Amino acid sequence: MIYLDNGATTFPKPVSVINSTLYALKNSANPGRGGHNQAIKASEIVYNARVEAASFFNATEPENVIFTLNCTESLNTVIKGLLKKGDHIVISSLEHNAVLRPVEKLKEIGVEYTVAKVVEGDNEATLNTFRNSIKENTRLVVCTCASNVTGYKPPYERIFALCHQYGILTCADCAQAAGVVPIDLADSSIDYLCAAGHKSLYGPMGTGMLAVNCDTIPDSLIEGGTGSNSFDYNQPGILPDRFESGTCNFSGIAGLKSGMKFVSSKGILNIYKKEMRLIKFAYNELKQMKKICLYTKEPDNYNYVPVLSFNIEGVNCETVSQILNSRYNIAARSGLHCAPLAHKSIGTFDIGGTVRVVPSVFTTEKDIKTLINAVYKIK
Amino acid sequence: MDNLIKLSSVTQAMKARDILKKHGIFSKVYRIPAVKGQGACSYGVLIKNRLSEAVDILRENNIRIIGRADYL
Repeated sequence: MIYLDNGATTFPKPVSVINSTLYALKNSANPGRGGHNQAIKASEIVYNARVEAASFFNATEPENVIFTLNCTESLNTVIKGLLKKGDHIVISSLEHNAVLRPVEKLKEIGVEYTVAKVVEGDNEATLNTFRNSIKENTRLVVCTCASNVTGYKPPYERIFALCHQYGILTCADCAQAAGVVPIDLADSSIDYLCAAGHKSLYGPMGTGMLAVNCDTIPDSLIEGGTGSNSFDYNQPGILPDRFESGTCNFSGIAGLKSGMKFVSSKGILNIYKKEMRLIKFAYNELKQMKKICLYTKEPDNYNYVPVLSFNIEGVNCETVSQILNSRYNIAARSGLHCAPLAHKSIGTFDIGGTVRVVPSVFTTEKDIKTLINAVYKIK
Repeated sequence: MDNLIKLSSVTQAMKARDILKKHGIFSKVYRIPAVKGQGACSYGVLIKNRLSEAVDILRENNIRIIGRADYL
């Protein structure tokens, strides 16, 4: 199989990730709970993963890294943990439902939101839409670091720097960027970094993280046992315990640590350049074909991550991906990619979305050539 | 006799252990006995000597110490 659905989750996982996950399963006890050797050993594995993640993103302290089940949980924690009745939030026009649905839900308690348009290729225009969206009661701005539909990177650092001028908190959705775009929290205006563990960080599914990079700590979304200060009926205020109630995904976190080490050993920029070369190749080949619709300018190494959406005129995107799967054994994802706002932005909302291909570090040029030949035959 | 420095969580205990190690002080992460009014269900670090120095180092590194105890 040629797997090009790495935007949903990366496959295959590195051997080191599989081995670490299996090791944790075979040697597991509940971390942060008991005092016996196996529990301490499990706690050590989770702590080391936290240290690895803090180093990966250059977070201030390991405890500022909170392990979650996925990027969606991280985003919900920030958005719902910070916003109260009367607050206003700005989100970008490229946001995933992991952002859109929480803010839509918060309308029920009197939180209002504005969608700021990202203008592809015009960072000044994008900054202006964000500036114009800010109100006196704006408390938080959420912006994706890269669209999961087109791969376009909004000027998120400039947007967040602007927000700090107004005293507004900032949250970056790094689901599609973490592992392919270097992110240095010490040199960033990101207050809250939300990332998936199972995409370009190559961890198992069921892993995500939230890195807190400021002094404003959101309220917890769920409360429960943390293995700490159990006489107190109240949820602990300390990190990461405040947000890590209940038993964690221990084996997943063990695998995630190895995933981050794998990415670091390869070098983020090396991975990025390799995958971008494949995406540019695919883009330019598809561009030469009649009846192929592409939705961005030619991806470059500054403004895009390796994600490519396309359609074949007159053929529904779901049909294309079904044929790619059944006739050519190619895994690509079609539809709205849980990002209706992004599809509205590129005009594919009403036609049911696009076919999306996303390479990983394991994807070869031969894989992309097979895809191109398959699309040529389908059209 | 070992000395137990009580900390607020297992994460803090492991961080404290690593900080102390950088200063040449070896310690072991240890579960704190649950005693009402003296902290419960948490962890600390056991050290054999250089207790006051260890406490100073941890405070300098913003590790919140919730108590101390002798441990036989």
